[in-house]
Amino acid sequence: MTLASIVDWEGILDVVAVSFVAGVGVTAVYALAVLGITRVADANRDGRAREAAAYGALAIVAFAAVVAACIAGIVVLTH
Amino acid sequence: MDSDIILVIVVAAALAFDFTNGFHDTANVVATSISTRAMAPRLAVLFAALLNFVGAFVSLEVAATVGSGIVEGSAITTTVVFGGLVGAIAWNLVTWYFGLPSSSSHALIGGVVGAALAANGPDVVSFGEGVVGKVLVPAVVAPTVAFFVGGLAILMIYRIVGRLRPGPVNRGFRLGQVISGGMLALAHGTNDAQKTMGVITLALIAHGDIAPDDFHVPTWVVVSAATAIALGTYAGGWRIIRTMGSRIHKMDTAQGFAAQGAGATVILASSAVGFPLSTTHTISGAVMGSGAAKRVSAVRWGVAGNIVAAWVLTLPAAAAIGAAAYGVSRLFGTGAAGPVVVTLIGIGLLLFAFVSRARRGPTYAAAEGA
Repeated sequence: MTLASIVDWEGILDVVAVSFVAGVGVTAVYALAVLGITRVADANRDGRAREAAAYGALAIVAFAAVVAACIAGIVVLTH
Repeated sequence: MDSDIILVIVVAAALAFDFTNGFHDTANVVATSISTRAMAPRLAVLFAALLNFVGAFVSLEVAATVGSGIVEGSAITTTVVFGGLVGAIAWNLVTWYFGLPSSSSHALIGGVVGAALAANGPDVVSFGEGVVGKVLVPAVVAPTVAFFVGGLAILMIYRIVGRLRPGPVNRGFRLGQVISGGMLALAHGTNDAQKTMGVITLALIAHGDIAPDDFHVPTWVVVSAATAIALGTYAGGWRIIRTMGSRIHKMDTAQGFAAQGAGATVILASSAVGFPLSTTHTISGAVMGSGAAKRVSAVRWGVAGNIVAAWVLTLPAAAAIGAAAYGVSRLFGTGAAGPVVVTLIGIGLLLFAFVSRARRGPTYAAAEGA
């Protein structure tokens, strides 16, 4: 009996892969949302409307992506 | 009649374990939110309790592993399950008493394995595929992965927001911690409540209510386990919150977010595969990773070492207590007398521990100041 034969390596690799992609990816995307919100405030204060709109769009898209990822994770788990 | 009494005691003990599990593991879920002041302590605990309740309904993969993958079904009697639960509850309370965030899951599995060993010898325990393959290897992999995911996540975050003004960034990550803390609470309910469901189902199989080849978790078991873990979470374990929240390392809001996000992802992914891992190990790994990535010396490795020692001891200690509880029960025969006596002894020791702890003063204030 070897470790290779008693361990569900496929399951372990799934956990490792999903954890790295989702864990690092979602937190990085959320950081982009924080970046967007902060830059919107700075750009508005300095009267740079186009830049503010671009960062606003980044914040909204990034935040929506985080929420979608959370919902997708729960849906995958329930099936 | 005797078997019915034992079943009632086992279900009550399992729900008591689930309560202590929520009580013990509240810290894993809320400590980072509290220590970064993303949420007020009471609100964080209530939020975690609600999402723990919801999480218990999400998946049953882990319950199937605990209920059918580690100890041979034919070796399980209600007294064996009872012994295992006593081992798990006792070890949970010992580690709570000393403020150590050890694993409730490994305590439960250790307790059941110990009681089964005492009852039937080593042949009935699947040490290879069951204990090593489904418990020990995931127990090492999960916190290690959480450590690196937490570390990488915080490095990415600092790269993206590192040059921004701290005020808005902190507010942004405080909001983020509401999301990541919610996901972590959900993940906790998903993985941990299922272990109790698995054990109650084992007892129902042993009692003859469920056929061994038709493993399924009855709805009343899901609802009662979800309720017990949610109530335990709300009751809270303030001593461990303090250890997790500030004694490993002081966190900023971005680190708290990274740690919770990493922990939630690893636990949810493991629940989907059916690994009954330790949520405590996993979130501790993520907390250490998010601290070490910023500065290795930021992590108080002495505290981390104590936690690791508690992890290593959990399986054998709970197994020894589970075996002893089974042995004492059998001294009184195969009827209900043994479990009743052991329960009374346990309640007596529990009261003694609570009174002794209460005399040392409140711990809530300490957590508030963490």
